[in-house]
Amino acid sequence: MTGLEQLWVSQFRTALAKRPAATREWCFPSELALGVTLSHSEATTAVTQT
Amino acid sequence: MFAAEMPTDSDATAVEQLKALNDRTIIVSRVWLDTEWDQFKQGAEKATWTLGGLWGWRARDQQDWAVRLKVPFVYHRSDEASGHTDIGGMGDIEVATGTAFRLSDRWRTGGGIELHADTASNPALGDSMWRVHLFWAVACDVTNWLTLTPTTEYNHSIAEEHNAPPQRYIELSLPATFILPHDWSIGTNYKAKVDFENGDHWTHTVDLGVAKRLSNVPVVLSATLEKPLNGGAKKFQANFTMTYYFEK
Repeated sequence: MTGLEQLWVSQFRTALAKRPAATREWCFPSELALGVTLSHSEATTAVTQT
Repeated sequence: MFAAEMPTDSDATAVEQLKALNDRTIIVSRVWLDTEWDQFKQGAEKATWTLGGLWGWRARDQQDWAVRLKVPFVYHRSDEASGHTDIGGMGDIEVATGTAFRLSDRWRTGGGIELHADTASNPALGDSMWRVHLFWAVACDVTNWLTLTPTTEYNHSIAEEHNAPPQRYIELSLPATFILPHDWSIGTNYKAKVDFENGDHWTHTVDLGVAKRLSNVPVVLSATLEKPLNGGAKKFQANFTMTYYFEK
């Protein structure tokens, strides 16, 4: 990992470790996802597409 | 959450993460931001940014519960010919709750209910209806490298606004995940849709995806291409997702 990645991961680990276990289980997500979706449609507008 | 029950070596974790991409019976608390760009005939375009969160918790030893919230923001750029102005704002919010059971080492099942709310700030930015969505899935790890997750989904609009036509359709799908060496996976899906409000019209869609769990950072990269085989205005859809896993 690069230095920036190590800093990023360590900051999340620190934030996680400070939380009580029950709160950690409830509130802190296990995953963070970023997605991009592209589509092409033969409908003329978004309004008319079903 | 079921992933926590697996052996703690990195291989098992990577396999669970790859399987969860295509398997609704694996509940994992997560947040996401999805950007969707739709291109229409004659130049109209629509961009949708969806903020989502799924919170899951252990109900019993073999059962998890989850709630999910999706909040979309939509920008619709009209084509010049229609004369409509560009509009943007909040889309239709969706809230859902569901549960999943681990039946054995190889079998899981789960399902839930989702409410699609007519919350769009402009009728053009949403579906102009309240809709209920029921879904149920059964997952089977046929082998260590193949998981099948047949899924049934039923959508039924319960209140339509602005002359929107009612919607009532069922979708039957068969996702499959093939685990490959070196933390690669291939996901396939076949989906059949029966539209009860359109003369029981059938449409068929296939998906093909590939995913890779990186070795040096807890990240899975995935790409999926979806292609309807008949009917429907959408010609194709491509999705690229990066998932970061917080190490606990």
